[in-house]
Amino acid sequence: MGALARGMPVSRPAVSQHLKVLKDAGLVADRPQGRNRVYYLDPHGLGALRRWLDQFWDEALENFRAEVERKPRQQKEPR
Amino acid sequence: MTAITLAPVRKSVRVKAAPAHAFEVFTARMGTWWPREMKIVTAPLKTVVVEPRAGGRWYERGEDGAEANLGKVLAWEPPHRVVMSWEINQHWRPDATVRAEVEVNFIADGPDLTIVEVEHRKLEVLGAEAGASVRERVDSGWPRVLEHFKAAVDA
Repeated sequence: MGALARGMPVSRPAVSQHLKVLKDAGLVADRPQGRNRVYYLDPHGLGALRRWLDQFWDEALENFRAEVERKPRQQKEPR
Repeated sequence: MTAITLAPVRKSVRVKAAPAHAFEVFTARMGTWWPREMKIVTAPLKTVVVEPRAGGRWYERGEDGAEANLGKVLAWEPPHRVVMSWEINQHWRPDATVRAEVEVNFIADGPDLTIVEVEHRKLEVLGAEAGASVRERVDSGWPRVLEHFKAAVDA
């Protein structure tokens, strides 16, 4: 990221903010490399898909936990 | 072109039940907890079926009786482990060329406590066109879905 910021007429925090927007949009992804973060293009937007599935499983497992811990007589039979 | 790999989605939840019960609810009762909005069938979702054997089907059934494949059971090891292929593409349609995987492990964590670990992996096989349509869904669709979930769960 430092290398990107050096080439820009804006502050390093501003570059960081812009990268975050690009990352949230699934256009770039990043990985740590030593003390730095290396950003790379994610042309297929797969990062966004991954985040979507990440949230999907959060919701699914919370529903699952509630169902497992339901008292047996309250358990819903599949209709 | 550089191959892109994606880190697997890893989730775990600790439930107050023995592994056998957790396994039973996860598989035989998937239709009771699967998020209603995440469906492929056109009609309202009736249930989600995991056939209890390696090679079994994993599919949704709508209220109208129509079925849609989610994947196949790759490993069936009750009450410890189940692995399923995830054959859903980035447009949320059945696609047998997609072979992502969902592995679920049920780990006893004391009497009547189980840690359920889910790993959704090989996500990069979901395809090279995942861009615009998925981003659109993530940006606009998912928050609305979450609100529906919350309303249903809190009710």
